[in-house]
Amino acid sequence: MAKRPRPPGWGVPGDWQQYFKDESAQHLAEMAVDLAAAVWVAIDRQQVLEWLLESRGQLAPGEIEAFKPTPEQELELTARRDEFLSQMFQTFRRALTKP
Amino acid sequence: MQHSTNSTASPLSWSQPHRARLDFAQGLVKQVASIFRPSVDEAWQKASSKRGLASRSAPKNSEEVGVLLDDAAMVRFMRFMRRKSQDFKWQAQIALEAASAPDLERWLENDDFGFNGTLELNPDLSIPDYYSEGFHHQPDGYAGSPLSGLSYDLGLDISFPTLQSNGVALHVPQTDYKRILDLGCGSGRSTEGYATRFSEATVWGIDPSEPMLRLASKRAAERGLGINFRQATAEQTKFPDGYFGLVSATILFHEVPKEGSRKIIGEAFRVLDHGGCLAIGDELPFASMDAYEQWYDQWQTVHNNEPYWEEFKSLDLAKICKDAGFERVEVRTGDRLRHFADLTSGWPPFVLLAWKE
Repeated sequence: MAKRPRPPGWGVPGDWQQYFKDESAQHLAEMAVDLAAAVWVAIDRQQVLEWLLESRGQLAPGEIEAFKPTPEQELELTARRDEFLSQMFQTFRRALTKP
Repeated sequence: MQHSTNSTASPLSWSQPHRARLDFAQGLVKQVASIFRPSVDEAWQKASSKRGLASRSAPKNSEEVGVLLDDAAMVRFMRFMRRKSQDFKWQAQIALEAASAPDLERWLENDDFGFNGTLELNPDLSIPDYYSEGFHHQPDGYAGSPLSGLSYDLGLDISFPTLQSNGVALHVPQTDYKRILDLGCGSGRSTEGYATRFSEATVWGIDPSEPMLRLASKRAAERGLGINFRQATAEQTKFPDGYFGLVSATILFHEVPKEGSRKIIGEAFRVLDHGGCLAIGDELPFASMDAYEQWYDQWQTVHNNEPYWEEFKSLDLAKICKDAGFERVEVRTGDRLRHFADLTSGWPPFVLLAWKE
């Protein structure tokens, strides 16, 4: 039994398909979903970490909220923030410059 | 993640990032069903009331609904999200499986795992082309990789955690079947329903995919079920005439072209004994849906890689059964598109029972 020819507009598995009128809008939406996934993985991980620390008596309730970074820690957070944002915008740039 | 009682105890490496990504994938599927779907219903109500239509079923066909809705921003967004959630799920699954692929392959290939049933493989089996369509965008399809069965089965857990896989088994008449055959059994979930309900019967499950059957046998062993699995097509089961009291197929036919469906029903008739029953459970035919529901449902064909979805839904399976020789046919239909979280009962929405007198 032979495969049928696919009607126009059919995608094959893994093919990118345009749903929005504006292609850029779709790339933004894709980026938003991927970003939300990364955020969720981080939220999940942080929750796990807090549960582990609390169960071992190494973290008191409210201790994270009250935390003040040292100047060195501020620098490290800034560097990590810049790396995070750079990765996010690189993803968008790649999507828009796809051949 | 909402865990399914249908899960299998494979040696998947559920580290935190993998677990959280699949949790997210499941959340996307759930949100599409619970937020975007009602929004599209609402967009339809607005569009139809603007046109002064009296009811949702007023347009004559799905094309007319499409003229009103296809360009709506909410519709475009919902379609995007449905496709994105499917792609995201597969990507997350691939990453999870890749993290423990050698262990998983060893686990699947191990034949010594205390299984009370049998596993008959046929590496020379000629598999119909339609089987390799990559349904639902599953990477490598149903048989393209040693992990295809595991991917399919895990994908069900993510997308349909409450799926009532034994739904068709619950519909068949209570009789002392000696032998039961489950066509296109996949990872064996539907077959397990028969082995559980009819524990005295000899239950067979057939599928063209070795990876599916290897997983099915592992699942059956975990549940203490002595099911026999054979690598074969539903068109040519290789069983003798009149061998079974019950032949069944759960969500098989919507993935088969029309001529294949005729062959399968003919083969079911051949292997059924007189007095035997054919039980088919699948998606709801278009004849049981109004124009709006058809329009919504047609998304599956193009955007979820279901090449035979519309062909199947336009079929008169009851007529095909009668043409094949079945004397009595009964069709039971339920709700069309069940909510993500509401698949615990009444699934599948279409059940056909046909008797060979």
